[in-house]
Amino acid sequence: MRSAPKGSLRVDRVLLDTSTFFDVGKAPRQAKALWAQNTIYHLVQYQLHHSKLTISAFTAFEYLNGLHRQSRLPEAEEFLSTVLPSLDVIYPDSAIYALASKIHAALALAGMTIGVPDTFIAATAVNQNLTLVTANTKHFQRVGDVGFPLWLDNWRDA
Amino acid sequence: MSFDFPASVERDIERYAQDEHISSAEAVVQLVRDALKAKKRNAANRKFTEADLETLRRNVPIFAFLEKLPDGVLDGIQAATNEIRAEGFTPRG
Repeated sequence: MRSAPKGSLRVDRVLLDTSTFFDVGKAPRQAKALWAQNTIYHLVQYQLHHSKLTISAFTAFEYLNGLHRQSRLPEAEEFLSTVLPSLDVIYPDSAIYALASKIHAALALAGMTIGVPDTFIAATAVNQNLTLVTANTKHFQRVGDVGFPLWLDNWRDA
Repeated sequence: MSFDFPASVERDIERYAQDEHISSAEAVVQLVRDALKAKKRNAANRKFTEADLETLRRNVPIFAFLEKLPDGVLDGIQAATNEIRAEGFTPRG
């Protein structure tokens, strides 16, 4: 782990949602936008405290799916060989599957499902007691609204 | 002025009020004031530099990967992800 600057605040490990990486990828070209400045600021601070970014395997799936949908085979291979090993990837175990099924059922009964990948991403955050960093807080808010303790943060915000 | 908060935000406010031994109304005022102060303070300080980006390119491989994707590819990934969310199941039979 890289050493944090002396006197800096503790930065807890978080689970980064797919949407946050869209912002991370687009921010350098949007330097004047406040959301881009905040996103880069948070990432710079975070990487001082954590040598690896934590994601759900479903976020990796969404990136690879998006690359394959565009026939971007070299980039998909680079993602698998170079990017994925640099990340702290949480693969769903039986506890996460069980929790995801509960969350999905509760959301379905309330008529506000969020899709299977995002259900697993939310279940991973709840199961691991990690704050989920997402640019889609309204979307994931539904999980909290049906009674699951999902803590959300948005790096677009200050 | 009155507001309707989502249930999860109400829970967060209640928890904060209990921790601070103040009423929910006082908690809301305090949190809003703090948030506005922080927003004002941070807005001016967070412009990133080329040195920040270079640090990220060096230390965060996914940043370097995403940054060098050709124009439109990231939008394509985002569109594909949105499609997954909207996908329904194929009926059997």
